[in-house]
Formats: sequence, structure tokens, C-alpha cells
Amino acid sequence: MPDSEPNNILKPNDLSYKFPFAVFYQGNYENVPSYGIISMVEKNLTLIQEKTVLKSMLYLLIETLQNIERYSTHKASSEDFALIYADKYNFYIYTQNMVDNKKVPMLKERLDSLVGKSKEELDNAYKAAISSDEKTEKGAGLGLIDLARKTHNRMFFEFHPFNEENSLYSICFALPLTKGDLEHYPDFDETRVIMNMMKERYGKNQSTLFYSGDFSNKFVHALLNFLKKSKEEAEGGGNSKLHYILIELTQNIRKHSAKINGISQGQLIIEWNEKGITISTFNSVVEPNAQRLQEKINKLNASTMEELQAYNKAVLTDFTTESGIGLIDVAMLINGEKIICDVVKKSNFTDELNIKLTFKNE
Amino acid sequence: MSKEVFAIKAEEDTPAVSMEKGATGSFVSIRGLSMPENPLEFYAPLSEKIFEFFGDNFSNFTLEISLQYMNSMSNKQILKLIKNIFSKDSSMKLVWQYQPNDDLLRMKGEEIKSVFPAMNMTVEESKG
Repeated sequence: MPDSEPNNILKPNDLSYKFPFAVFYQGNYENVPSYGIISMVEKNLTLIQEKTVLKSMLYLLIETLQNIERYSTHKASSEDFALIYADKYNFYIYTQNMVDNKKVPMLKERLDSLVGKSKEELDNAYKAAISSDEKTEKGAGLGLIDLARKTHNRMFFEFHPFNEENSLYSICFALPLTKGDLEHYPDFDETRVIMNMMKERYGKNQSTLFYSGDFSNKFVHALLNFLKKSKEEAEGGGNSKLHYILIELTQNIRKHSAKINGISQGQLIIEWNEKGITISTFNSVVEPNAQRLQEKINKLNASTMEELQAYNKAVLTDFTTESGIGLIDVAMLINGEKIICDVVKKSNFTDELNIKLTFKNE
Repeated sequence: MSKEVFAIKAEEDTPAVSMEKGATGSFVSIRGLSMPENPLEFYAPLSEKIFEFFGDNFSNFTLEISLQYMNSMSNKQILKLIKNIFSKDSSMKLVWQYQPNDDLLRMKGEEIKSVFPAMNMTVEESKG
């Protein structure tokens, strides 16, 4: 929760101000959560991007996420992740996954061969690779050459030894938001700063989903689809409690969030770790909504389960008001755990609202 | 008497509704997702349509609700709809179905049952 840290250190909330959207998922890519990630990103891209460029971006996204699925050794799923975001001029995809140490020299050689190549040279390399008979066990180096070609070779990659069998392989591509805009070179230093922040904050979790962007119901559907396909849920036989809490919290953001160009923006982080599941939300709200919400949450936190049930029934059957039972439901679902609510004054008209709760994954 | 039917298609955030009335009785089914941002916009016209469709003919009436997701605002509107029909036909039957393993929607069904103890209501696992 904010805000005892120095101001010059990047914090998750800062991403909401700096970028139109950001999605980060650290966890298991074996059970194809890519589809959900793609839907989350697609909706945000349609808000900032023309259709023609959108297609190339989705191609880039699908290819890179599939590379994690295909090539990761999946030995430590918390080390596999993707960060997708856009700044003012470029769209970025950074992925990291575990690779077998035996494959590192060949992969590194391939990537090194792309460094500094012009578009023409990459086109020639692509033609040569496509007509070559050489095949690796899961395709060819063709994919990487094509990604380098499509991104005007704006990329960086790194290898770090992990243990005797595996290394961490990361690669980042960037595409201009405006077709043909080669003037604004991607700020890869900033990508590294964001990645370090994410690793530091969430690296010890079994799994993390970080989302900052549009909170229309399109996002909620993408999120629910994503969760249904994720390994955490496949193993747990579904988790309706998590879904229900998320529906209520995301709709709270939609309802109370200060809108930017008519769109509700906010942030949602789901962390799976040994404590259970932690959900944090962040959004700007128009005064005095945040204060009211904080008072309501304080009342819920001070209530026993019996009091919550009575309160729930009273509000539910009071048809003279449209007032909802969303947060009461959430308080009942987390069964005695507290909802942490923090309000930070941002301006004369808006407050920042941070909500955080943890519950056992049953 | 021939059977009359009316249907509302499911949308992204709202459930499918079908209504039937005939010699054997009257039936309304609400199925799918119910999580619109403003449920009043869906449930107020739905309530009007139900009363327009059945008029005074609520004899042998069954309401079947089978949802996969329901947000809390929908919960209140659904309860209001049930209350309105129940006040018209106190012999109505309510079938509340929940998906396998969905304890929450089962609990929501039990909660509704406790609000209307005199109602003929069953809470059961959905079979399909």
C-alpha cells in the first residue's frame, strides 16, 4: 500500500499515470492463458490505435506469448512472464522464460546474428530461412527473424544462468504506435526499470496478474476467461469466490472511477502465494465518493459475520433504494479478513482509492 | 389453448429470458450471466414485459433461474422481480439452479428462500 517509499522509485500506481495500459502476467503459461491476455490487450489497443497497426501488434503479441508456451521448460513457472504496455510512441512486449542450458548457445547465436541488421538484410535472412530445409525440433528460427523484421529490429535480449539445467531468457520487442514512425526510438531503459519493479514486488509469488487500463465489461469478461483457463483454477476446480469478488471490485471501479475520455481507468493486481489470494485495486475517484466508501468499509471491517448477514439482508430487501450489497458480499466472502482501504488526496476534485484484501484459496 | 412464447436473447452481460403460457401452465426462464453495470435497465423492462405477457394469467406459474454469474446489483433486482410476481401469485413455484461447485449461487438461492419462507421454492444443482 502507498506511500511510505521515496518518490523517485517507480511504484505500481505510477503505471496508471504513465501509460494508457499495462498487463503483466507471471505464472504458468502451459495451460494457455495467452488468449485471455490477448483479449485484455486488444481492447486497450483499440482505444489508442488504428486498425492497420493493431493487426501487427496482435501478431507480435501472439507470437511472443506462444514462444513462452512452446519453448519454456516450465521448470519454475514463476520465472515465466510477459509484460505488455504502450507509452506515447511505442508498443512493448517483454517476455521471459526458462530455457534448457543446452539450447542457449544456439539461440544466442541466432539472436546475435540479427543484431544491427537492416530491414533489407533481415528480409534476405527471412527469405533464406524460409527456403532452407533446416528445421529445429519446434519449427525454425524463422519466427525470430520475422519478429525482428516486423519490429524494425527494435529489440533487446538477455540470458542469465538460473541453475545447472536452466537459464532465464528474456526478449523485448517494440513497435511504433503510428505506422512508419521510426523517429521515436523505444525507451528500453524504462522497460528494464518496470521489469525490475515487477520482479521485486511480485517475483516471490507463485503467480501474479497485473492489469492497468480500461475497466469496461470487455475487460471483466477477458479476465474471467483468463482465470478459467489458468492452471491455478484448473487445479482448484474453479474458484467462484475469486470470480465473485473480482466482479464486484471491478464494477466498483467502473462505477466510481473518475473517467478519462469517458472510459473508466483503473488497476487490478491478483497475487497467488502461500498466504492465499491477494487482490489489490487502485483508481481515481471523484470526491467525496472515496470518503464514503472508506466509511462503509470501516463499518464492514468492524462487523461480525452475523452482523454482516443481517446488514446484507436488510439492504437486499430494502427496495426503496438502489443501494447495492457488493462490498457486504465481499466482506462476507473473505470471512473475517479485513478489507484494507486507503484514500490519498490527489487534487481538489479527485482522490486516489486503494483497496486490498487477502483470502484463503479454498 | 395453444402455447404462446416470447424470448429475449442473452447479451454480453445479461441473461437469456424465455416466457411460455399454455394450457399446462405459465413458465419464465432466466439463464446465463447477469452482471450489467446498471441492472435496473434490464430488469425494470423485463418485469413490465412479464406482467404484460401473462396479464392476469399467472396460474400454475414457474420461474426458473439458472445463472453462471450474478453481480450483487442483479441480485437485488432479481429479488424485486420475484417479490412482484409472488405478490400477484402466492402459489408460484421458483426453481433456483446453480452450477456444480458454485457454492455462492447456491447460498444466494438459500438466502432468497429465507426472504420468502412461504414460497414454493427449490434450490438445486443445474444438470446442463
